[in-house]
Amino acid sequence: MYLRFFIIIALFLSVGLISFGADVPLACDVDVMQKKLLETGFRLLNSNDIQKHVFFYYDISDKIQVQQYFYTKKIVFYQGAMKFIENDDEFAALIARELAYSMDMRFGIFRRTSMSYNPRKYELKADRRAVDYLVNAGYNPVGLITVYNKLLAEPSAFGESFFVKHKGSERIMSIYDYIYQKYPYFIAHNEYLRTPVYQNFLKTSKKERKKSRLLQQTRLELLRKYNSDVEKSKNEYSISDFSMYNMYNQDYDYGDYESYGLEELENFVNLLEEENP
Amino acid sequence: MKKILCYLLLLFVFFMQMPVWAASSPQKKSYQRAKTAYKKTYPKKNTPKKAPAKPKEENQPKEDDFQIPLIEDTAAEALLDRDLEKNSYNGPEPEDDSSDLLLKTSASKYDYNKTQEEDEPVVDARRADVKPAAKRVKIPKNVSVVYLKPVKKVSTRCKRVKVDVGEKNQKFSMPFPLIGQTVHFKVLNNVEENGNIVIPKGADVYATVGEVSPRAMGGVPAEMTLEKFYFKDKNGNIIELDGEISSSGYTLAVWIGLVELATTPFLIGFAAPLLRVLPGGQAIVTPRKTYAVYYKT
Repeated sequence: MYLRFFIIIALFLSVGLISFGADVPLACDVDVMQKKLLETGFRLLNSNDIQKHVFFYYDISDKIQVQQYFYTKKIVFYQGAMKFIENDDEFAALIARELAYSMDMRFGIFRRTSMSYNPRKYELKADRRAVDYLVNAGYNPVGLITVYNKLLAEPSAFGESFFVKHKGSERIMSIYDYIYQKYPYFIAHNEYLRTPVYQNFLKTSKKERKKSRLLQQTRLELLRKYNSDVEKSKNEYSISDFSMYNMYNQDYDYGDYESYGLEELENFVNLLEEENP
Repeated sequence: MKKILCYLLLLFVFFMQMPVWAASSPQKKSYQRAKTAYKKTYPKKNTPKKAPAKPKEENQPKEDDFQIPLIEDTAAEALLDRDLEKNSYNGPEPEDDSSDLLLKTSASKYDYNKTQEEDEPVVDARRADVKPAAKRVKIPKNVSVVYLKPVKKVSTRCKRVKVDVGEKNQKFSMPFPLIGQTVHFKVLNNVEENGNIVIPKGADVYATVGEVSPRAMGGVPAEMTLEKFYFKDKNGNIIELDGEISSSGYTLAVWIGLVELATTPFLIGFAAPLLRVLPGGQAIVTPRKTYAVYYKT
């Protein structure tokens, strides 16, 4: 009798006292954000067919950060970063970037050692991979540029960036270059073009963007050449000629690019097109 | 016994509620509490007790107080006898019309000079109007493995390419193979569906280079991803194959670490800058290996 009575009182008190804790962060905002984080995270995982378990957690501390933790396999989105986010694309962009980095971390001990020895390379790789993840999940990858333009610092060369990190502007340009190469649709039909953040990026990166365009022109010329080579080989190796196929250790002949200027390349491509109309 | 259990349960419940109370109390209070707790001094066990302090007498200057002695200005005292008047300005008061002028000249709050920047025109006009579709993973009914070998070896490398930048030609380092480059594979097995051969042995399969990251210092290898595998059947229909090949070169990072550890006593710490210059290996997709992708229906 006593036991039941006291259990009831204890339960009543436990419920009552929790309700008195007005400052405890049980606010619905946190719940909503946690749900949003889970929804976005699993959308990224499923659409990219990532067959790994990842735990997404929304933390209420004021750190301006989204971080992946290798040993617990979790991605923590800190509330401080929410001050910089304006839309779903930017929200997903930060998660996708950490997801890409954590996938590299989970590749094996050799990869992890490499990442600790040269984090600069894997920083850029994760950024670029994040662009792929975003596009596959149906988000706009330009969101990564806008959110990084607000978030990333520009440390001096002999400060923390030396051997460890890239400057913020370098990372943003690397992302822009990747989108320009692989998903030019999002640059040609840019939803963010008139936003102040993207306008600021355009103003601060005129030279680099011009360089990016010129490099892409050169890449396209070269791509036409290589892909036409493969088209030719379609006719050379038909299904019946499978016995002839044993081309071990044959490199792609890259040619001597150093001797090619743009004009020479143009002449070369024109010649190719005349030969193979 | 039951009573004891009940009391213990109650205590446990109260104990569990403590963090809730702590969180619910405002931050200032807890800060003040912490401040007072910090100030508190606890007497040690063996220290002799201090004698009670004597009550201080009133109007008695403190010994420690430092007082600045007053210096008398004799020159000012000499001037006190004269009848001097303060000069005052009796002219017209200047009109402050700067605020009106500012209101007339300055632009309104929202009409600042907006100069819109335009982005670089997209070079690849063919793909500029095609929106990349979001990938939708379907649950397949049948999955069959397609074994492949590349026709030629593909390896990563960095080359310096000459680019025409305005007046001069400049050389830029560019990782190869290029993103979007087609790689040719041959199928090694017959792929069947319901007893019919869908992809015959020796058929051509094509993939594109998805991402290339060059090798770097610290024994870090190059990496390459091949994706978007497809096969054209007799009727010319494109059949998409699922999967991607990610190739990575050999890594020297672990070995560099071990050698650094072993040689540090002899080289007095110079091993680290010397060995970390070494790069890792190039990523290779070679006909010596067999790769697998999936045909899903």
